[in-house]
Amino acid sequence: MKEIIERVKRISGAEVSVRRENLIFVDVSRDKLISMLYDMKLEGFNQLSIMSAVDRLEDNEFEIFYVLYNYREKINAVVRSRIERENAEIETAEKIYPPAHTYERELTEMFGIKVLGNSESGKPFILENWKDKPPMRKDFDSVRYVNSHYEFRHSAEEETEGKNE
Amino acid sequence: MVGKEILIAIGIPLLAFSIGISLMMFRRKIAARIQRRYGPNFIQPLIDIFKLLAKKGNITHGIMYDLGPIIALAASITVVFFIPMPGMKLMTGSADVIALLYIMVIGSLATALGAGESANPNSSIGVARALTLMLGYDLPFVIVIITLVLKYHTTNLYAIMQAQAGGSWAMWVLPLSAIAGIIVTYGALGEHPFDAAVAPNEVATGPMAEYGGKHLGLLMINHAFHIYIELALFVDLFMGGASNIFYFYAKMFVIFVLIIFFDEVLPRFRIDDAVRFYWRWPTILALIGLIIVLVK
Amino acid sequence: MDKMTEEQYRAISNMLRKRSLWMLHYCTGCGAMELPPTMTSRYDMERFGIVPYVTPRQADILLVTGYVNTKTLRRIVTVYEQMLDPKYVIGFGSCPINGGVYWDSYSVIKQLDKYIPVDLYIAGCMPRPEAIITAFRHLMDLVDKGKADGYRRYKENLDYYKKNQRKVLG
Repeated sequence: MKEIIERVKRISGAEVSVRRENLIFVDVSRDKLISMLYDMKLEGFNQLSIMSAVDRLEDNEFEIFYVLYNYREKINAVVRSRIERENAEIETAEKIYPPAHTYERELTEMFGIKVLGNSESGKPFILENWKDKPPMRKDFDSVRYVNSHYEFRHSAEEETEGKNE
Repeated sequence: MVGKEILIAIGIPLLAFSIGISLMMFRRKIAARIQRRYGPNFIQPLIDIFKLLAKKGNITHGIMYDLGPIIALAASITVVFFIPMPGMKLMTGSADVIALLYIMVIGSLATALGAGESANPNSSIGVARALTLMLGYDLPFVIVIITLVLKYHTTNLYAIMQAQAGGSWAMWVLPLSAIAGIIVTYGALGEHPFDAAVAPNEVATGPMAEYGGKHLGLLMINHAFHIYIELALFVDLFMGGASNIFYFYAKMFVIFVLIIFFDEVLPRFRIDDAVRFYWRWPTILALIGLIIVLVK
Repeated sequence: MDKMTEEQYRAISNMLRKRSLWMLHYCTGCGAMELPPTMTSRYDMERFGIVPYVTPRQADILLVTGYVNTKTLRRIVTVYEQMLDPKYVIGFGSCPINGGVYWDSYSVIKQLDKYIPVDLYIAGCMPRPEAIITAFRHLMDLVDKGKADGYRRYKENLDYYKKNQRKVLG
């Protein structure tokens, strides 16, 4: 075992599971999330590679995860935590990792999770004129939306204009 | 004789335009063969100009936007009359080389004013780059012309041409000034090391960004005239003109092929690198040539 | 006499116009990956007279390569209206035809024909350069016969197109 994994295990509130030699998963409860990120940065996990969420519909929870990377030891760490699904809110991590600012904007728009402390969190980001529910949730029926908003082309015998090759 | 003058007034620009267009045709074919592929059809530039003049949209941004290409074309046709063709003096008695330098600026200035009127930021950047480049290559250009004027003791272009007849071209007598002159011709034509003004990938073709259809057709005709003017000026100053039109065309062709060879292989300078280059090496070569003429 | 010369002028003009079509180098989707091989030395496109140009004011053909979002569609309509007549639109790949791989996506439009008039479709995901060159020759054929009149259809049925655009773009 690498020594860094021992040090991570000693951080309070962390439950570490080792998947491969350079990939560990750290589960943490929701109120210790920000302090866990701060401690991981002190241990040398300098880069935030990606931050997003998984919709666990069957448990009625969201699972937020941060993928961190340590340059010196060359090890990836995934910090996970679960929050409840109705009125989901998390605190912003942009004071610790500045790239989290843009990822949190996408999180608000695509999943509907409110991020406290992010100054641009509620503003429209990528989608224009979107009035439906946040589209990455698992109870958003994409096929029903498509069938009510767009029309498919009829069979080849009915459409005769400009179809060649 | 009014009939003869009308014939000259129409025939000379037509001859200049056909020489310019044929050099453009050769240019696309030779560039394609350098890149190991077949090029377009041989008369492709003429078809392009016809297609552009047959477009049906009308878009206008103001009166200067429409007048820009027209004034540039008129300036180019005017300059054609001041450069002697083989066997004809044309109007070189009325203006000498120094006045020619001033008249040649009118075309670029008209295009710049017209492009500034169209409210596109790409055009403004392209115009700023074109004028900066002109600032760059004017310095060695003026030094080279002063060298020639001092050597042949006259500013009349026809007299300079006559003094080199019979094999003692200025290119062999003043080789350093000739090299500086060729590098200046690159910048004036907008060929590849110095085409930051008309860069398709950076600024969307610079001043021509908002022009389309008939305006672009006029700008392409202007480009054909521009090629003729620059090359004819170089041949008259350094290679002693020619006795008949075929030798004239052959000399222009040789210089143009040399330009194409370097054009297709070299990448592009940044605009400040281009100006810095112009004020360093061609200026030094031209100054050494000037000192040699002064000392002798 | 006038009618005959107008037809002759149109015939000559179509014959010359088909040999010098200029393409708009505007890569809207993932299909633009197949354009550089078509333009360079191996499958040379310039021998037909087709050259890439960068602004819509200077180009004739708009290539809609690949999928079209609602966000991209707003910009494509602006670009199409900026081009000068006569202009042609070619739909690349299977996404403009019927949605392609993204048929169940909430933001990809399914039928390009309802929003701008299309002259030619090229099937494939992505079509190879040989297919692209065959399509260009087909377009040249249509221009020669005078049948590539997408721009006229746009002007005549402007209400139909605008109604569809407003419905999907909001």
